[in-house]
Amino acid sequence: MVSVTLHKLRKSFSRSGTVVDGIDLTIADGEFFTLLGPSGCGKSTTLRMIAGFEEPDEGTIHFDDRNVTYAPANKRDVGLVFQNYALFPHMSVARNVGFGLDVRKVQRAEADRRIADVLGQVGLAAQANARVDELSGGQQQRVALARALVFRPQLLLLDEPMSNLDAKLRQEMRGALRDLHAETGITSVYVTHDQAEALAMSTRIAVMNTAIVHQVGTPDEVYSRPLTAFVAGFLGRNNLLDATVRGIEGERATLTLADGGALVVRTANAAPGVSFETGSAVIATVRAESVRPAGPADAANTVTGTVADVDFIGYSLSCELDTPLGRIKVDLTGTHARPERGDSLRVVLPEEAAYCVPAER
Amino acid sequence: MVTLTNAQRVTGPARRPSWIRRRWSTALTLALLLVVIVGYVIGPMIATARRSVSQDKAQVLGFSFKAWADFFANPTQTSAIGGSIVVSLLSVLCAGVLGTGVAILLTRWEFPGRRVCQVLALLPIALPPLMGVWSFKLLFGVGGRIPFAMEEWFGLDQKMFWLQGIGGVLIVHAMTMYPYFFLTVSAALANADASLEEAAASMGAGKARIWMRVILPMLTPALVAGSLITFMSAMSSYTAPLLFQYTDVMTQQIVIAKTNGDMRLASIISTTLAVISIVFLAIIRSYEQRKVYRTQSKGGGRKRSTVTSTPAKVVLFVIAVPVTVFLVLPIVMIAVLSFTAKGGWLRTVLPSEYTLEWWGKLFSGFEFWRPVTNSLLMSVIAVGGAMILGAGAAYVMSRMRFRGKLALDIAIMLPWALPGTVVAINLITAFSSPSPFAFGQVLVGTFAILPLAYFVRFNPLIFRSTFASLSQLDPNLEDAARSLGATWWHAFRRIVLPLLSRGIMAGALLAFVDGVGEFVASVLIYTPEWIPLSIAVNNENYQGNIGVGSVYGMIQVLLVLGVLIVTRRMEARETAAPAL
Repeated sequence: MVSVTLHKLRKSFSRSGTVVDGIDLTIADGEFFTLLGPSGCGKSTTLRMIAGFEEPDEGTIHFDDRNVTYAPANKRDVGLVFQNYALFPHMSVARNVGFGLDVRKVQRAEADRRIADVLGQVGLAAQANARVDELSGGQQQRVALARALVFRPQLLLLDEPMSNLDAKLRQEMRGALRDLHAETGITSVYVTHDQAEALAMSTRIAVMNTAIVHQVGTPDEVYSRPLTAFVAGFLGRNNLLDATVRGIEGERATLTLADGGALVVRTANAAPGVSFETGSAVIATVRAESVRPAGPADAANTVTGTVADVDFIGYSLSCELDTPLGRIKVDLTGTHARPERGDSLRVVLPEEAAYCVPAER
Repeated sequence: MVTLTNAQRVTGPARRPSWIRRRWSTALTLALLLVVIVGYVIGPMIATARRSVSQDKAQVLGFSFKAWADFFANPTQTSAIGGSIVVSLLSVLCAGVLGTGVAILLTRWEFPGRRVCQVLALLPIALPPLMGVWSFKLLFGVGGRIPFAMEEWFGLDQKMFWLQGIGGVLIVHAMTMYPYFFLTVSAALANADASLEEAAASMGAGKARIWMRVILPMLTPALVAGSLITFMSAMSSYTAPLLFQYTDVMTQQIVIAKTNGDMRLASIISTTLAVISIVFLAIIRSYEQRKVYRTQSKGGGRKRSTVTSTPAKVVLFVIAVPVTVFLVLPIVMIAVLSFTAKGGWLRTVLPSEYTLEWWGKLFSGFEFWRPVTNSLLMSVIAVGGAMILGAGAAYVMSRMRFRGKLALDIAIMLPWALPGTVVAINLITAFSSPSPFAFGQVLVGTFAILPLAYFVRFNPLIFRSTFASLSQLDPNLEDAARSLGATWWHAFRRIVLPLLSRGIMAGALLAFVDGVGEFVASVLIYTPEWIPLSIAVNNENYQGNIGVGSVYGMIQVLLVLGVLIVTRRMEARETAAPAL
């Protein structure tokens, strides 16, 4: 297997402008690495450059210490799973899977054995001779995966492979992909806009927006310790509050919020770029699941609002409050009273759950 | 994890300039395409334009616009320009009413005999270009069988029903060009989103309002497309005016001028007609770029309303059946003629004397078959060439972006828009003397000139059909093959070509059908040693051997029907196995 190094990668198109703006990434050997971001953030273009379908305007791509920046796609030894699978409609499942082996002139017997093996691995042994359009979406996805793996590439690239599957199949495929990665240990680069997929499967995640990488880290790091307001807002349901630092007392800082009220936070719960000097602008974030209804004893960090929206989503009640601070998202779990639209609700933004990120320039 | 020094980062393959990265095969196709377009389309057209400003009417000599001034001052010529436009407009009207009417009749309601009518309504597509017009002439023309029957059956003066001149031309145009409307309108109606009508109805619109405000506006793209193509075809029409002796159109004037030895005048009219065609082509291409109304919701098109009341059934039946019979009549006429003895159809509605003599000629030896094999051979050569170039051009045009692409697109489609007469005149002016594009040979008067003319005309057909299937082909498939390790050529051969083969074949078959029936360009440039089928039909008919001409005509009909059936089969397979 192989490690991948992207150095100062830049790409622009005449129509859409700069779509990848100086990306530096190192993907370690055997990692399951995810490029996560909203559509149009440049993640697919980055993947296409790694695959060899686009040439960067600037920068280099290395597989280990081999410079592949301008190497043609067919010389890169990379397995690729497309969003729409791109199965060859005029070939059977087995011929599709065997295409990469034909190209490499693998002996017939050996090729047949490997096709059978990999089809068994993805659970499609019985469908070897089926036409690809007879298969369901999930099965087609497995064929695409088998086709990308059968020639034992050093790198597997997956471009939103699950976006055409329904929720239940997606759950299943997540597990299957994770198992496959554990078995083969192949370095994988996964592109998605779905944070749940990214968090569930990745060794590390690069969160991208508007052509740049905002943060690279483990799922826990990007979720719990976001580096920027974008990362904080993109992952999960988060409340972002513009604030100014009023002062520090030991490990605590008091912030002034937009409505003039105070919010106490811990200085340890902050991204590296945050300054707690008096008067600095910061963004305080409190996740919806950390916000809870205030009890009689709660005094600090509380805010009162009117319930504007309630969504029952099974395991929790997902509410939005109109407060002097703007909309506040609250996820109520357990045995809390169920508020209804129009009710007044006082909630606590717990000090220990607040996390500060730098204010956007 | 590997860390890299800066020195290592800059090593490795250097970036090559973009013109080298473009593949040699693309460059080769583009170069070939340019050679063909410049050498055989644009070049000859310019040669004709050059000839039109010659000082001498037979030779290219000096430079003078006097002939052009004379042309526009000559009442015969200006009247022919007006005549062409009037004939074209009226053809659009007649074919439009007929085609739209038949399409609505046969797709909106279910009644007994509908399916049979629907199949029969397509038959006129198989009408051979020359023999078909002869058939019209013998049916509706002076002394034709329909007027004769009117006199016999109803005692009406048959002279009232004789169609001559523009009347004859129009009935031929209406009945041969109505498929342009019938096919597009039928498709538009079949694909129309039923939920739109239901939405209109649920908002309280009555039937009449739904028709005026929803259905007809949805048909507009189909009607406009049909009108443009019909107008252009009518402009190009040569055979109908020829047989109905209507000389007041430009195509006739070209041939008259050429016959009188005034190649300069022929060139002037050709150039004028070419300019009109280019303008129309540009309009059509830009119209095609616009959006077509497509079904947005799932669940297929509208279900036909089944007519249940008996009077309504009778009314529909009474309208649909005669219309369909009328449409099929010309082909039936050719079939009957092929069994009619010489002089066996004079004062009767149906022939009085039948014979198998004409069909017996099939076994009379090779001489009879020669025009058939000539046409087949010339068509196969032309189609073969056009398959390579047209398909290659489509691939290049769909996969590459470069400046001047629209101009190239119009240049590729141009021979489709140019009237056959104009193509022939252009080739005559360009290849009557040795030309570098003919390897220094004179092509006029040799075998090569007709296959060349066919080849030039077929390229656009195959280009279009290949381009259509290419635009349905997922570009990711090629990328997928590349990432699996295939070279560009391997991916093209194993993935792209097999998936395009149907599109290429569809265009090739269409071209082949055209080639077997081609008359308009052939009549101006054929060589006596290599007589094509349509010329043989014409010669036989003019010698009074209409029976033999009809047998040749029927061979054309059968070839076309065979091709249509093959194409339908291919389409059926395609719908059974939709691409991903």
